[in-house]
Amino acid sequence: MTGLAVDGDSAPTAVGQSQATATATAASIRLDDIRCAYGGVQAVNGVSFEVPAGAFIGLIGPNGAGKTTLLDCISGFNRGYSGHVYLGGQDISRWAPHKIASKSLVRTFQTPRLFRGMTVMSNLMTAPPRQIGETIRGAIFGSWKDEEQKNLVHAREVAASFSLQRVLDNYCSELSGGQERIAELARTLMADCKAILLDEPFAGVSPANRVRLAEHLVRLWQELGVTIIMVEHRLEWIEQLCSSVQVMANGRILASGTMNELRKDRQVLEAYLGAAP
Amino acid sequence: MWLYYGLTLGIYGCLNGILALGFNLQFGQTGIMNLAFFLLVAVGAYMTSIAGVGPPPNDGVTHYIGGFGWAFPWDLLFGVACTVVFALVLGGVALHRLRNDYLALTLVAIGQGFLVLATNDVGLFNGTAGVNGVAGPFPQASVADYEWIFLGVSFIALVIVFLVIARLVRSPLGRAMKAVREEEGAASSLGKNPWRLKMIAFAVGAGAAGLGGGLFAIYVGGWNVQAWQPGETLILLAAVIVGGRGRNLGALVGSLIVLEGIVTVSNFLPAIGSVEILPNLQSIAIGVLLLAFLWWRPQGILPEQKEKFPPAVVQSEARPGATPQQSPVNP
Repeated sequence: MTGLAVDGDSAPTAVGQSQATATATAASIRLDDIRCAYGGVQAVNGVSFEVPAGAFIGLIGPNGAGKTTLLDCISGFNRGYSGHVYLGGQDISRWAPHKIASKSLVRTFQTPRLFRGMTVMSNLMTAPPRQIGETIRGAIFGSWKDEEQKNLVHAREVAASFSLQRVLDNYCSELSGGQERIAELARTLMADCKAILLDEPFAGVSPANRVRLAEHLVRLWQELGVTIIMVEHRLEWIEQLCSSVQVMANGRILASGTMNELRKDRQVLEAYLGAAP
Repeated sequence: MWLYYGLTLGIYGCLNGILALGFNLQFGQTGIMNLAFFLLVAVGAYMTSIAGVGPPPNDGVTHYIGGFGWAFPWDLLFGVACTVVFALVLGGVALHRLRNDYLALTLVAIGQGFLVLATNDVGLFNGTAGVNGVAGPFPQASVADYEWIFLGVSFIALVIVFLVIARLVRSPLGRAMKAVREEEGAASSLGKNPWRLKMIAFAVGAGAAGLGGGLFAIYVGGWNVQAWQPGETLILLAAVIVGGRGRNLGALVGSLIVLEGIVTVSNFLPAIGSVEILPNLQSIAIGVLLLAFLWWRPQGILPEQKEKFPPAVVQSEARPGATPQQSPVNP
C-alpha cells in the first residue's frame, strides 16, 4: 500500500509509483493505429501505444481530445473504428462489449452506470462471470446455490474492503455520487478482471471519498496486479497513481512519459497544461 | 347458472394469469416492451387449433393449413413448441440490434402485419371465420364436468408456469435479466450478453403466451382474428403495471383486477343500451386505472421486492483455509 496522504482537495503529498508486480492474470493492451470519426470529426486519429501487463497508466488531454472515444473503442462500446486492439496478444478488435468483458477486460463509465433499481449487493452479485445459474438449464435444474454462496462471501469481503457494508441493502438509486463511484469500482472487482479501463473515476466524488477511492485503486493495482488505463482530468491523481501518462489532443497521442517529463514538454504545455511561460 | 359463470371466470382467470406471467417476464423482468405479445398468443392458439382439428371439410369455404386431428395434450404441446420457435426467429431478428423504443414500434408493426396476413390470406387460418372445432380433454365429459376438468387443467398450467418463471427469476439468470433491464451497457461491460438474456426471456415468455393461447383455443373450441386485436397487449401491459411490474404475484393480482375484474366480468353483464357502450366503458375504466396508478403508485399494488440474500456466515466456516488476516480483495 502506498503512503497516500491527501487532505481534502489538495494535491497528494506522497507518491506511490512503484510498478506493481504483474501477476500471471494481468493482460497487456496494445493499440495499433486506432482511427474513429463521428461524421466529419476525427475523434481518434491514428492512436498506437502499448500498456504492459500490470501497468497503471494515465490518459489525459483537454475536453474533446478523444479519450473516452478511445476507451469506447478498446472496450467494444464503439465498434466503428479502424485499426486493431490486442488484449494479452489476442486481437479483440470490434468485438462486442460482453465478449471483451468475458476476456476479463472491464470498464467503468464517466457517469457511473449502476443497476439503479437493484440493491448494491445485487449489483455486486451480478458481476461474477460465467455463473452456473445464468443459463436456463442451470437456473432451473442446476445446483447454483453453492457457487452463489461463494460469490456472496466474496461480495461481502469486497464490500467490507470498500466500506459499503452499511449500504449493501440500499437501492443504488439511493447512493450519493461518491458512493456510486465506489460501488461501481467494487462491482468491477467482482468481475474477475485482468485489465480495467477507468473513465474519470474521481469526477463528482467528494474530497474525502477521493482519497478512499485512490487507496482502493492502488490496492487493486498492487494486490491484484491488473492492468489499468485511467482517464482523469485531475492531474494530481494521475501523478499520484500512474507510472506513465499518455497525452491526447485532437485525437492523437501528443506525448507520453511521467508527469514530470510532460511538464517540461512544450507541446503538452501548450495543448493541455496552458501556455508556456 | 352461477356455478357455470364461476367456473368460466376461474378458467379465464387462470389463463389470463399465465399470459400476465409471460408478459411480466419479458417486460417487467427484462425490460422488453413486447407490444406484439398477443401475436405470440395467437401463434399458440392457431397452431394448437390446426393441430387439434381434423382436415378442412371439402365445402369450398373452409380453408386452413394443418388439420392433424391430434388429441389433447399433443395439440397444445405442438402449439407451445411452435410459439417458442416463432419467438426465437422473431427475437433473433428484432432483439438483435434494436433499442427498446424502436423494438416496441417494430413489434407493433410485425404484430399488425401478421394480423392483416391472417385476416386476408384465407388459405392460412380461414380468414375472419378462423379455425373451429378443437376438441378439449375428455371430450365425452358432460358440460358441467368439462368445466371442472378444464378449470383443473388451467390451474395446473398456471401453477407450472408460475413455478418455472419464479425459479428463473430468483436465480442468477433472473438477476442478469434485471441488470439488462436496468442498464444494458453496464451489463454487457460485465460480460453479460444482453441479446442472449433477452432471447431467453422472450422465448420463455412466448412459451407462456403459446400455452395460454392454446388453452384459450381449446376452451372456446377455436381461434379467429377477432381474438387478438392490437389493444389486447395494451390491456396486458396495464394489468402488469397495476399489479406490480417485475413481480410474479403482482402480475397475477393485476391480471385479476384488469383482465378478470374489468374485461372478463363485464363481458358477462347484460347490455346497457347500445352494444357499444360496455366495451367503451371497459376501455375508459382501464385507461383511468392505468393513469391513476402511473400517477399515484407507479410501482403497482405489489412492488418489486429487493433481492434477499442469506445472512453472512462466519468466514472460516464458509471458506476453509481462509484466515481473518487474509486480504479482503485478494481471496
